Amino acid sequence: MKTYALTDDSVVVVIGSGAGGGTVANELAQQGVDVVCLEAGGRMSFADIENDPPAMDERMGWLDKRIGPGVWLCKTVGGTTVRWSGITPRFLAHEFKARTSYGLNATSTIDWPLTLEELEPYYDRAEDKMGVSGTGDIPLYPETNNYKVLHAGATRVGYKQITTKHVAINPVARDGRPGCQQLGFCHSGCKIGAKWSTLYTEIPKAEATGHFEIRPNSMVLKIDHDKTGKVTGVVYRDRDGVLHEQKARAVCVAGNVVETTRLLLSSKSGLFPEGLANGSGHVGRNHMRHVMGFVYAVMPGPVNAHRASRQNGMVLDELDHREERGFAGGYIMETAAGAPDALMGTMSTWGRSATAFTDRYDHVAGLFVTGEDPAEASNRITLHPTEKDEAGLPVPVLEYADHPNSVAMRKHAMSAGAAIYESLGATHLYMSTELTGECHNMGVARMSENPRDGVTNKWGQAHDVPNLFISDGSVFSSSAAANPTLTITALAIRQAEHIAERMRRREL
Amino acid sequence: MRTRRRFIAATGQATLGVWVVTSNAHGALAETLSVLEADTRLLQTLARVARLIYPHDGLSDSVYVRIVGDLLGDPQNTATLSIGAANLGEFLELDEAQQIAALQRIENGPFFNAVKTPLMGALYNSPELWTMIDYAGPSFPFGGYINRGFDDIDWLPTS
Ligand SMILES: Cc1cc2nc3c(=O)[nH]c(=O)nc-3n(C[C@H](O)[C@H](O)[C@H](O)COP(=O)(O)OP(=O)(O)OC[C@H]3O[C@@H](n4cnc5c(N)ncnc54)[C@H](O)[C@@H]3O)c2cc1C
Ligand code: SF4
Repeated sequence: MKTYALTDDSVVVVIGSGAGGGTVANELAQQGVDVVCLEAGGRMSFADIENDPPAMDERMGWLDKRIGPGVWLCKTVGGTTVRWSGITPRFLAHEFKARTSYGLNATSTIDWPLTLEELEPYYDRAEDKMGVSGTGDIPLYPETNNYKVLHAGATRVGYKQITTKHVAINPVARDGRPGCQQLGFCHSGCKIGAKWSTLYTEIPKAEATGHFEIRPNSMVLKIDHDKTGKVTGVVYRDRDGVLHEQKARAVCVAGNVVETTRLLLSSKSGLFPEGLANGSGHVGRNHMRHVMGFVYAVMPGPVNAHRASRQNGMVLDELDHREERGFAGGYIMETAAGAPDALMGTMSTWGRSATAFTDRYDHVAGLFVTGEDPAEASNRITLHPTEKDEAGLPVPVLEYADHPNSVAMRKHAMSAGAAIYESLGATHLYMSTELTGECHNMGVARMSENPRDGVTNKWGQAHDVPNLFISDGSVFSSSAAANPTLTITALAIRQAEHIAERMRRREL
Repeated sequence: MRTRRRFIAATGQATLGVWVVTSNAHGALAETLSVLEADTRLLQTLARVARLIYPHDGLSDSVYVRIVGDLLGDPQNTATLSIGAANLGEFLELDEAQQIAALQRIENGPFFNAVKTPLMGALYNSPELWTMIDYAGPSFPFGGYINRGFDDIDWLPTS
C-alpha cells in the first residue's frame, strides 16, 4: 500500500473519511492526485461489525465530551456512513434559493451561490456511486412491511408521491457489493456491505489507485499556515498520543459540522485571530439540523417493522413550499424502525403509554420526518474557554433553539404522519421529537456569494484561505428538507474535480 | 462495596440471609444486617420505580431487581440513587396511583433520569424482554429476513 512521508508537501490532506472526506479523497486519487486521509477513528472489517447495537456504539461512536444538545456521529473509518440509513433524495431547485423562495427575513437565511442545474450532473454521479435505488438502471428498493403500511395509509389520506426510490442500499447485487438481506441492523453497520458506506467503497477504491494513504486513529488537532495565510500542513495525534505534522499542498476538512468547527476555531493564529477562515465571523454559526420527529403507531395487525432495513421508503407530497401551510419549506416522511431499545430511546414517555408500544412491538409501524430548518446565526458551535478533552482540545459547546418556523412545521408534520396511521385504524399513536442525538448536521462554514455572508465559495474553498477546502455538510447554505448525504457526496465529487483541475493549471 | 452490591444484584433478595450468615461469622453482624435491610429496601424501592417507568406485566420482578442492582453497583450512581429513593419516603407503602403521581412530580429531576436512561438500555436489551415480545435479536446468523417475512404483511386494506 502506498505511503507518504510527513514532509511530502505535494499531497492533499483530507481530514475525515465519511461521506464528504471519503468521497473527495477517492475522487482526487482517481484523478491521480496524491492524498493522505487522516481519520480519528479505527478501521473495522466486516468481522468487526456485529448485530449488537450497544457494542457497536462503543466501537464506533463519537464519545468525546461535548456540551449542549447531542449530535449522533461516528469516529471510525467511514465516519457516520457506517451508521446511516441510506435515504438519499435530491434537493429541489427552489431550496437552493432559500432566501428568495421563503423570505424569512428575520433569520440569516441566504441563497446558495449554486443552482440545482449546476449540481445535477454531480447528483447523477453520486447516485451511481452510491447505488441509489430507482436511479439509472437500479431497481426500486423492495417494499417492506413498514413501507407497505406507510403506502396504504398515505394513499388513504390522498398522498400520491409514495416511493421506495432514493435508498442507497443495493436492492440487488451491484458494484461488488451484495443485495440487501434485510438484516435490520443498518445503524450498527451493514455486515454485508449492501448499504453504501465509504468504509468499503470509496476507501478501498482510493487505495487501489496507488495515490492514496489512509491513517486511522489519527486525530487532527490543528491546521498550520504560513505568513501569507496559505495552509502548509496539519498537526495530528496518533493512537499512542504522539504528535506529528503532515505537510500538505492543500487541505480538505470533512470532520462533520461539530468537528469541522472545532478544528477551524482551534487553528486560530495571529493572522486569523478568530479562527482559521473566519474573517466573516460565520464559522460555527448557522448550524442547521433539520426539523425532525418520529410518529409511531400500534397497528391493528402485525408489522414486524424491525425485520427489514431501518429506513426504506418515503412520502414526498409535503416536500414542496406552500405558504398556506403557515411555514416556509417542506418535509419528507420516511419509514423508520428499530430494535426495542432504539424505539424506546426516541420516546420520552414512560408508564403504560410507553409500554403499550413495546408490549405490542410486532404491531408497531413508524415514520421519521425530516424538514427544512432555517439558518440562524445564534444556532452556533463555540469552544469552551477552559475545558479540554483528553486530546487536549477545547470541548465544543452547542447552542441551538428552534425557529418558530420549525415549530410550526413539526406540528404539521406530526399530525400529517399520525393521520396516515389513523386512516388504517392505529390503536395507539406516539409523536416523538426526541432523537438520541441529531443526525443531520449542516451549516457552520456555509457557501456564500459574498465573503461577508459565509465561509466558503461555491466550490467549498475558504474565502480567506485559497488552499483550504471544506468538504462536508458544513458548507450547506440552507438545509433543504431532504437528508443531506447525497448532496454532501455530490458536492465532494464536484469539489474534487475542481481541485484537480486547479492543480493541473498550477493554481493550487 | 462494589462487589457486595453486585452480589446482591446478581442473586436477588431471596439469598440475602444466606449471605449474611456465611460471610459474617465473626461479629459486626447487627451492623451489617441493618445495612443490608437498608439495601434491601433501597433495592425494592428502585425496582418498583423501574417497574412503574416501564411496566411489563409479563416480566417478573427479578428482571427489574437485577437491572437496578447493576445500577447500584456502579459507585457513580450510588449517591443519586440512594438520595432519590430516600426522598420518595414511604414509597412502597403507597398504592399504585399514588406511586405514579409521586414519580410524575420528579420526572424531570436527576434521580428519575438516573434510573430511566440506563433502565431503558438494559431492559430493552435483555433476553427476558426479547423473548416476551418475540424479538429475535441478531439476524445475521439466520441470513436476515429476506426470506423470513420482511414483506409478509397480509392484513392491509387494498384501497
Ligand atoms: C442514525 C443515523 C442515520 C442517518 N441516516 C441518514 C440517511 O438516511 N440519509 C442521509 O442523507 N443521512 C443520514 N445520516 C447522516 C449522515 O450519516 C451524515 O450526513 C454523513 O455521514 C455526513 O458525512 P460527513 O463526511 O460530513 O461526516 P461523517 O460521515 O460523520 O465523517 C466524519 C469523519 O471525520 C472524522 N473526524 C472528525 N474530526 C476529525 C479530526 N479532527 N481528525 C481526524 N478525523 C476526524 C470522524 O471520525 C468521522 O469518521 C444519518 C446519521 C445517523 C447518525
Ligand atoms: S437491512 Fe440491508 S442494508 Fe441494513 S444492515 Fe441489513 S443488509 Fe445491510
